[in-house]
Amino acid sequence: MRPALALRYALAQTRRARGSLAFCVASIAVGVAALTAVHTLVAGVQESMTSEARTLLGADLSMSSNQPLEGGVAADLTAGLRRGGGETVDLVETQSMLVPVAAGRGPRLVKIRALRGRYPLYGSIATDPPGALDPARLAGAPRVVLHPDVARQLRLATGDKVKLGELELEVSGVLVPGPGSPASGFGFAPPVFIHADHLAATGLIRLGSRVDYLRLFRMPAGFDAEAWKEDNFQRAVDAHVGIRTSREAAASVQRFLDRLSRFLAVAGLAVLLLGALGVASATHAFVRKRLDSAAILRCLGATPREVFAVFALLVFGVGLTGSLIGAGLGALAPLALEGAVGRLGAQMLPTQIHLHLDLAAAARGLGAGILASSVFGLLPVVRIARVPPLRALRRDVEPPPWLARLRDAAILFGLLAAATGAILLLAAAETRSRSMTLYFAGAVGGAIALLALIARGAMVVTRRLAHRAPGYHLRQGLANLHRPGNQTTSVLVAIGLGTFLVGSLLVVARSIENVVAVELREDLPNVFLVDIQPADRADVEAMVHRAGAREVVVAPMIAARLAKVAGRPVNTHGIERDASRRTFDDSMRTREYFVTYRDAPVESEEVVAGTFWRGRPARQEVSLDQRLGENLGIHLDDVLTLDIQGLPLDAVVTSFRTIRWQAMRPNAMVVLSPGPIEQAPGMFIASFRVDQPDARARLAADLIAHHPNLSVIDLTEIAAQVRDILDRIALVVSGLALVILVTGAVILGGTVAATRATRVREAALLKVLGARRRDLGRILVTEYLALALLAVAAGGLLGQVATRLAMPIFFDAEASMPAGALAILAVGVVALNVGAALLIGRGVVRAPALQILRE
Amino acid sequence: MIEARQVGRDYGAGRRKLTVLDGIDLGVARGEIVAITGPSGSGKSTLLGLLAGLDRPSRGRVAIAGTELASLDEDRLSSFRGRHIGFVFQSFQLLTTLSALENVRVPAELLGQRNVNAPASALLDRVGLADRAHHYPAQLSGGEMQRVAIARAVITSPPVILADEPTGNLDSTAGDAVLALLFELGADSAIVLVTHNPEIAARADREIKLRDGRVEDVVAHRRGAA
Repeated sequence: MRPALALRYALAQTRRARGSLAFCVASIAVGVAALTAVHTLVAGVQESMTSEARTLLGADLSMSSNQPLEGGVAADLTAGLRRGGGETVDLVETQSMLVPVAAGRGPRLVKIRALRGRYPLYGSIATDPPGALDPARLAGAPRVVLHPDVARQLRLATGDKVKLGELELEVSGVLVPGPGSPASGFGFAPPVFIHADHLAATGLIRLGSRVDYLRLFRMPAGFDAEAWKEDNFQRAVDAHVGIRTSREAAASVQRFLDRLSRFLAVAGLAVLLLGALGVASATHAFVRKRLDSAAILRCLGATPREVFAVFALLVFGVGLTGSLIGAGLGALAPLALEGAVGRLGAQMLPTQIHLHLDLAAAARGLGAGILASSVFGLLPVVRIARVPPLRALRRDVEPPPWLARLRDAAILFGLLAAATGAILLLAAAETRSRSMTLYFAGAVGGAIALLALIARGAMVVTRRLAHRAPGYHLRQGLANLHRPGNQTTSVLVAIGLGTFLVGSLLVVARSIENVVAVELREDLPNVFLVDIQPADRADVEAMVHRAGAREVVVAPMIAARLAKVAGRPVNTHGIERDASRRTFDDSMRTREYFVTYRDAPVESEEVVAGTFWRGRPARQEVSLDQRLGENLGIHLDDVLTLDIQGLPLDAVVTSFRTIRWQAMRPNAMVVLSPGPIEQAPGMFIASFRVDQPDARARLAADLIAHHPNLSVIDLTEIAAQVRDILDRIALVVSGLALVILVTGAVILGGTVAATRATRVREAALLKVLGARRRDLGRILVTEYLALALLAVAAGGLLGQVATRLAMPIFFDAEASMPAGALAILAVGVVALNVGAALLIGRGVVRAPALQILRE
Repeated sequence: MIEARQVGRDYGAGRRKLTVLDGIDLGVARGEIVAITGPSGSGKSTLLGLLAGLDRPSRGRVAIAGTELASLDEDRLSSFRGRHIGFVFQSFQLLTTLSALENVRVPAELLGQRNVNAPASALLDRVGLADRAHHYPAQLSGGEMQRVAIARAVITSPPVILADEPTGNLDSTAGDAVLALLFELGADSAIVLVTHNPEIAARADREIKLRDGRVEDVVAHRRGAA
């Protein structure tokens, strides 16, 4: 058969089925639109970040260390870059409390950025009034430029007085949010700027304090920052100097976006697969009605391959149309919503989001849509290609011989394998992770299989028990569930899968909210004190106890590096050079640790190997985090040499632990036994709980008044910020969830449309037999209500089981059930589907009885 | 043109085996009309299916124009059917999504013939439906649909036309007209006609009476006598 002829026949097949095929197109369009929109959004955000990479760092590259960058390798590298025409600015960063001098406000945790030189080296940072960041202006009398959040929360304005440590400063301006501005970023300690000359006067830089020294470089045009980093990387690592390029600075923010985008893409993919399932379901219903046409074509001389070609073209055409519409909508919708997207990302992203028409995203969505719809749609087409021509003559056609059945089964198996392959391929493309691909495919495949099983079970039960149901309407409505061609299985799977996905999202969101709801968790501390100097410890503890704090835990913290394991230096070769791709395991080999010491294990950890000492052992012992030990190849009884601010300390590894960081108790990956370490310079941190917000605020103010170098971290404030971010993410996820539910309703609508002719004929017959419109309506409502209720119950139950299993594994938290939201979901899904089905099937009850005579 | 020798057809196997046709010998020449009659379940439609190659016999052989159908695989059989056999069904079996003209064109198009519009239109004209060419089957009466089906059956000038109760769903006036058309347009073909109507059978050259899957009697008629 010529392709043009096959195409013409395929087009002819759509003539009396455009209504039901429209649902097919809609199913796939919704999925492709969701996927394309997610990619357009993510690509837009990432491109905005990349285009402003230099502005984000404010330089071409940066050097950082926890030691001043004077002398040694840092000085050598700096000299070399300056010789090459580099311009520099130095920053010293530390966290502290900012206290307004006027009584009754604050304090507030901030990140102090002490500048020496013009900042930034690229772009400019707007301030109100303008020029507040000018180095000359900051260098005179002590002045500070505030982050707008700090100014707003503490009701501070230009000219007001604040204290940082022991130094009083005048507010010389406030940062204005904008592209690349530090005022647009998100953080628990918003930055404030002072001049480096005033840092010493704050008294915050003491032995053991957490301080970062940064040097930013602006290089002449043509300088290859990446190549320079490659050449000097190992030397810098060995000297504990970090190097980051502007590309990496943007990329590390992108990592967060990457994870979010993968999650969104997976949700989009779920919508697409649901749509593909809809195509399979609608095609199945369509093909049932076209079996006679296929048999006639066979009688007239068409081969099975030609019949297959006609219907495969039809399926492909439907997939292509739906995918084109979806890709168009998905590419354009985010542009229409650019303003809303910008507001959603405000304060989460350090840049303004510019979205544009992304052809790559559209092409990707188009490809995914065509692949999914073709593979899933072809499953029922195989059946029509094998239809015996004898069917045109008689209905009771003998089943084909076993060899033919075996061949058909093999073809079907091949297509199922292709469908599975398509799911895996799409999941792999979206997640770029083997484990996530398998999780996704397993979860979706498992959910579909279970829901299909439930649907089959429901059909068997209704077939056996429907006739016992009280009342004709209920009996007839339930009996319709196993009506031939009713697509009960696919509709139940579609609605059930939608309910499962949305219900699970709701449970996960609520559970995470509960995890961060520190104010509601009696078992967690809600205040952390950092940088308690040894001399201040007793007084700070006394103040904390006087304020009625509970569960006070104080722990010493000493900065140290891992120098040697069993006499061999820690191997820093082979770690990922790209900072944006560096893993936690990589950083374990180069980072500085805060180590602690104590005489016994604590509740928030579990000793998994060896024995944790009690009291004060004779030798210096050390207990390590299990993952740290595995990563560095450390074994029990190995001698670990720590570099404590230049002095070596040997300790024997006597145990490994797993730490529950979620318990929010002071802990450390490296814990030493009491002994010589006690003499090392360090500071203390403390955690405790004060329930009353007023008492907490008073205590914070008192502590800072007496000990200005302390940092007070109120976890309830951080939790509020996390919740704000979660709420924004939840908004995006809710949008996708809505799309999932709409897809389910579209599939149900498609099925109703596909079986409409049968229903109209049946309704006409029932009218001849005496049924009124009201009776027909009640039968329809019963059928759709039973189907939607069953799907919601099955999907909801699956969601419960899945989240109860998954939450402890992935979030170390119990699943919390948002009963109200789940109830609204259930009622909403049932109402949506029953409403959609009645709307599409509204002509059924109006079918004239005379029609039965015309048949 | 049609040659069937000792054709039999069983359904099922073992103890559940059911023989619906057995020991059928049949030869039909080009230009000849043969009617197959018999009560319900006598095997009429089964025999028609075997002659068309829609079904395969359990025993015996069927040949059309010298080609043994059993020697053809499924694809070749389909093409062979398109070239050699025209069909007329009791329930018309028009493709509901194609117009009358498009339905008539299908067999020729499947054979790869081009410019089939003119002959298809001419045939519709001959069956009296030139003005209904662009109507869909749902817009036609039963008699009109069967006339379209006849036009479709003869468009490739097949040497064999098989008709299964072609007037079964029509009133007598429409039935007469349809039969006349079939005989006229298929004058050069071997026509096998399944019917339970003795009047129609009497218009054939020969009537083969089936009972319980076997030939009960063969009656020679003078065509058009009834």
